[in-house]
Amino acid sequence: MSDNSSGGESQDPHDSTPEPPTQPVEGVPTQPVPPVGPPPGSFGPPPGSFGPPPGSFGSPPPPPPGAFGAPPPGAFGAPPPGAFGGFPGEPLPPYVAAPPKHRRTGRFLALAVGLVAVVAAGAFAVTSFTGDDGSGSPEAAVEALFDAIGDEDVIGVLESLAPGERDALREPLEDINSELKRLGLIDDSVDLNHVPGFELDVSDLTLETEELGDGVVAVTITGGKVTAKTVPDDVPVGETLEDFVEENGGEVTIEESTETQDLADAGIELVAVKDGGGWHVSLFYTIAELARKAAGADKPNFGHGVKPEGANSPEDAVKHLFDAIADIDLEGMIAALPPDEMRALQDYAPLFIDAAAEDIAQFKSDGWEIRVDDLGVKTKGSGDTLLAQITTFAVSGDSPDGPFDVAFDGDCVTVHAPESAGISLPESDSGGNDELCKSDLEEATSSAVSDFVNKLSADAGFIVVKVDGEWYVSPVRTFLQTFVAALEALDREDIENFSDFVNSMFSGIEVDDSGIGPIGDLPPECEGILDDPTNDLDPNDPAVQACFDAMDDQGNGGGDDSSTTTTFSEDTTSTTTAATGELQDPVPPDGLGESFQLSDGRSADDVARACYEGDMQSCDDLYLESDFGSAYERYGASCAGRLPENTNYCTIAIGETAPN
Amino acid sequence: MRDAPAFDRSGGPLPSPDVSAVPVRFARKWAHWFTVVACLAVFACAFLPWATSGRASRSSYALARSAERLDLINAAWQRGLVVGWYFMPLAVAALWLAAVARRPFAVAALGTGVGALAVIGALAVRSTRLQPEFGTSATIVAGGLAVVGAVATAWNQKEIR
Repeated sequence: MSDNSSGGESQDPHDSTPEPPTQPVEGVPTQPVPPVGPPPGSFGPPPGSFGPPPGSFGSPPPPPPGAFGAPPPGAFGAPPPGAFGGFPGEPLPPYVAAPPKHRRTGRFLALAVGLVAVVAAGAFAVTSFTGDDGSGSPEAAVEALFDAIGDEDVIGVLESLAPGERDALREPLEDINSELKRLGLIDDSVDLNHVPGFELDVSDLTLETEELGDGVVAVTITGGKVTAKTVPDDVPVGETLEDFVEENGGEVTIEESTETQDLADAGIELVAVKDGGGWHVSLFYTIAELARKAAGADKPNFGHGVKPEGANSPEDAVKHLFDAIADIDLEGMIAALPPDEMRALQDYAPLFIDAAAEDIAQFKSDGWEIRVDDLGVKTKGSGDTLLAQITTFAVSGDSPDGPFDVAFDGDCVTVHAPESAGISLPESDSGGNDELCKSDLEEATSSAVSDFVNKLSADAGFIVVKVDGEWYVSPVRTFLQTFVAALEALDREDIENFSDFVNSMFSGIEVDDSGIGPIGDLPPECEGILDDPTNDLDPNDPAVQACFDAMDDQGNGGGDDSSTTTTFSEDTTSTTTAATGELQDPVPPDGLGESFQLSDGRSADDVARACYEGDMQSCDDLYLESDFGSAYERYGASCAGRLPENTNYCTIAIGETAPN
Repeated sequence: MRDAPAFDRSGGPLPSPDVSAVPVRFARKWAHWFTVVACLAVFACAFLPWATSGRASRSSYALARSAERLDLINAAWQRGLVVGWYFMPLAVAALWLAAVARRPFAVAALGTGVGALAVIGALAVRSTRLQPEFGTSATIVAGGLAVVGAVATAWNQKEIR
C-alpha cells in the first residue's frame, strides 16, 4: 500500500492489489517486513504462536496521551507489524505473497487491453458517424427489403428505400395511420412497428442484376418463394369499417388462408440506386424503369437529366413552380421538384420532354397564354419541411377567344373570361357567374360540407422542403399531406353518413355470397355509373341524370318489370322485391324542430310537407340541406317515413313521386 | 479461541475489532471496480435487443442508426444522446484505463456519465411507441448500478481526503 496522505488521485487507497515491498522511505509507512503466519511450506501456525503475542496483532496499541483520535505514527492505512487480519486468538491465515513480477505483468496486460479497447471504441464511434447508409450491393438492398417484408418490419422496409423517398413517405404514413385509427377504419394495433393480421415469408431468393447507369442497377428476381398467410383474428379492421361493411350486407369474417407463389413467375424487377454511400431500392426509379420499358424507349443518360433549380425561400419555391405551370414549362416544373425525392423523374424526363414540347407548342400556337400576376403565399411550420398555402392569387392570360383573368382575394374568386374559354364558376346567389365567395359555398352546401372544406383548406397546401440549402415543392409530400388533411377534416360521424349514402345508392343492388356482385336489373343507363365507386354521381352529369331518370321510370313502374328493380329491405342479399311492396304510410312532418330556409328559399317545413305529400325531390332536398343527424335530415332520408332512414335518396329509391 | 481474552503489551485487554467497518472497507476496496464492471455491463447491454419492429429486433446501435436514417432525431437532446451513445464504448474503455491507473475520480466521473447516459437512453426508447425489449431494462439496471458505484467511488475518495 502506498501513501494517500499526499492527496490528489494519483493512486487509489483501496486498491486490492498489494504493492511489492519497497525500501523504507522516511515518513512513509512500509509494508510489514516480518512475514505473518507460518513460513512457506509449513501448515498452520508455528508452535507457540497461538494467542496474541504482545503487540503482534489485533488492534493497534492505544494512543499515547494527548493523541486521541490521531493514528499512531506510521500506522495509517497500514496494519501494524505482524498484525495482518484476524481476530485476537484466531490462528493467523497462511501468508501467500503474490509474486511482484506477475502483478506487474497483470497490470501491463490490463493497460494494454485498455489501450486496445480505446482504439477500437474510437474507431467504432467514428464509423458510427461516417458509416454508409444502405446496403453493400444492389442485391443486398433488395434482399434487405424482402427480409424486412418477411419480418413485417415497416421500419426496415422504409430503411431499405432511397433516402429521399423514405423521407417523403415516412411522416405522412404515420399521420395516415393515426387518422385511420381515429376514424375507426383500422384498429389500434396497427403501428409502424407492427402490422398484424398478415404473415409473409420470403425464401430462396435468387437475383439477377443489370446495370442501367452509374449507381442505378435493375435487380430482377429470378427465383424464390413468397408465402402469404392471413391470421383472421389479427386483421386490424376498425370498428367503423366493420359497421360499414355489415350495414352494406357484408360480413367481416376473414378466412384463414395461406398462399405460396413462385417469385420466378412474377417477373418482379426492382431498381436499386446508390445513395448515401450505400444501395437502396428506389420506388420511383422502379416505376420509371417499368414505364420506360413499356414505352420501348432507350435508357436515359443517368445523372444528366433535368437539372434541379431550387429557390431561396419557401415562398419563391411555390412561385417558381406556378410560373412554370403557367408557362407550361415542363422542364421548369420538373426542375422545381426536390432532387432527392424526384431524382428518377429528373433522370427520365429527357425521354418524354421533347415529345411533350411539341404538344405544348401547339397549345400555345392556338392562342393560349397564361401569366401569374400575383401569388400570395404564407408558410406554416418550422425546420426544413414547411406547409405553404396560397392566400391570394391573380392570373391573367389570353385564350383563342380573348383575354381572361382569374383572381382570388382570400375570400372570393373572380373570373372574367369569354364564355367559350370554358373558365366559369357556378352561379352564385349574388347572380352571374363571375364571382364566387366562401359565403356562397357555405350557403349552397350543408354545414358538414362547409366544415369539411374549411378544415381542409386550413391544413392543405404545398409542402416545401429544403435540400442542399435550396427550397423545392415536394409533390409526394403535398399529395399525401392533402390526403391526411382530408382525413383530419372527417370524423366518425361523416364516415357513418357516407356509409348510409353508399347503402342507399346500392340498395337495389344484388349482393351475392362473394360480396358486392352483379347488379341485378339496373337499367342499362346506370351501368358503369352506380357500379363505379369512383363516380361522384354529379347530378349535372348527363349520364348520371339519364341513369336517375331510368331509375325513376322503373321505380314508377315504367320499366318492363316493375317487380324486379329496387329492394328496400336492409337485407340486401335478397334479390328482388316489388318496389311498392315495402313502402310504409308516410308520417306527417310534425315536431321536426326549428324550421330553416333551404338554399332555394323554401322553408324546411314546407319542403317536409311536400315530401310527405309525395314529392320525392323535396325529400332529397331536405335530406341534403339539413344538418347531419337532425330530425329534418332523417325525415328526408326516410322519404317521410315511407322507407328506412338510410334510404337517403328518395328519387332513386321511389321515383319523382311516391305512389299513394 | 474467539472467546479467549486478548491482551496488549502491558497485559491489558485489547479493544474489540470494529465489525461494522467491514462492509465499509469492502465497499471502499471494491467501489471503483464495481463501477468498472457495471459500465462493462452497460456496454454489453447496448448490443442486446432494445426494440422490435414486426419480427425484427434491433440493438441500441441499430435503433440509433434507424432513427437517424428515418429522420426521427430532431431535438438537440436526442442528437446529444445519440452522439453520446456512439462514444459510450470509448468512455468505458477510458474508464477501464482509469481504474487500472488508479484514478478514482476519473472512474467516478466516467462511471456517472456512462450510467446516466444508459439510463436516460433506455428510458427514452421505452417512452416511444416502439415495442421495447429486455435490453432496455437490463441497461437501466446496469446504468443505475454504474451510477451508484461511481458515486461510492467519489464518496470514498472524499472521505479519505
